[in-house]
Amino acid sequence: MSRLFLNIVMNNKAKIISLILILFIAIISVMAYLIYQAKNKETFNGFYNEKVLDDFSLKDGKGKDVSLSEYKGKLVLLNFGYTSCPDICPTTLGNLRSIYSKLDEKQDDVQVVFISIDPDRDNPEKLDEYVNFFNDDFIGLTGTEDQLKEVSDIFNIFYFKEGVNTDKDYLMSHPTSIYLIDREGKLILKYPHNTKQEFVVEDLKRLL
Amino acid sequence: MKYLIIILFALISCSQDTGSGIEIKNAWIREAPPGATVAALYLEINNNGGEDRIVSINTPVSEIAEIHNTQVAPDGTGKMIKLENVSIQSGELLKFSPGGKHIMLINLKKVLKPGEVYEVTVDFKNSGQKSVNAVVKGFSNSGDENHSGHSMGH
Repeated sequence: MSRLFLNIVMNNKAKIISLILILFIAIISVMAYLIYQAKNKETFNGFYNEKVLDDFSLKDGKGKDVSLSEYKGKLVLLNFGYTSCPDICPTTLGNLRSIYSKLDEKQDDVQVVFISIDPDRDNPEKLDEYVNFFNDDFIGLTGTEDQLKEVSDIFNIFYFKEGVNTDKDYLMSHPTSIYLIDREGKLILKYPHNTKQEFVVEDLKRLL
Repeated sequence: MKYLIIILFALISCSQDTGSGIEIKNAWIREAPPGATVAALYLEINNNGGEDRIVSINTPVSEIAEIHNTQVAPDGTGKMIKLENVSIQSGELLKFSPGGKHIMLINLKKVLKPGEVYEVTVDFKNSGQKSVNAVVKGFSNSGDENHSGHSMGH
């Protein structure tokens, strides 16, 4: 039995060697690819969260309809909140203001977008004034309940009213992360609200 | 000698007075963006006395001041929980900071400008009313604005 096997090996030496060689090359290539991919993801400070986003449309401060696709070619830093939010939203927008200021001449390639999930209290004009307080280049968007529902489905997020005392006195639960969308309109990275500013700046500078 | 003892005694009792009980420090209010009807007040309470409880907080800038805690779920959804009768243990340093426990100032009575100082009064169940000056801080272009940063100390 073993002699037979040895005979087969001896007769097909060249074939077996080339087979081993091919296998070896294949394994090396797959490993190199995996390492390259892992490295690509790991070198970002944000959480890699690749997701193709359907286009959506909301109203800006001037009452104009704005679609996400209009920002193709730019990186978009997007977050959700509402103007009656005392803690998280001003903290995050304050951080975004600092992050944006550190981009210097690259600012033109980045768009900061704040989406209000509280259209009952945040009309476009009020929202515009609020976001422009942080930076004139920032854009505030909001829409109807249906439009916002569509956006929340696209991002797979939740928001809801809480502690409702009257129709004008309530709090909102909402996503606190910052979402980074690439030049093709694809979501790539997510940052928890307490991410250090320089981590976001580092990622942006790598992508710009 | 007699006077010395009296002075010494006075000094000891004096230092005990400041060393025990409740001390409020590092109080600041964040500048409110235009149109905002709410703002957040942050401070630290150091309790060198016995266990106590916050009954109420009053400021000249808002009609209402409530203690809230920002809680962020693993999926990133943040919610605010209203806290009542917040207790402070003996020896505890209770910190109110961005992204965590904060005092929500509701129905602002004035526009808050950086550099302004307002007297904030915290009413404790056992220690009574304690006041502290809170400075209004603007948004800076440097440093983190959240609790992991170190830029909000005085």
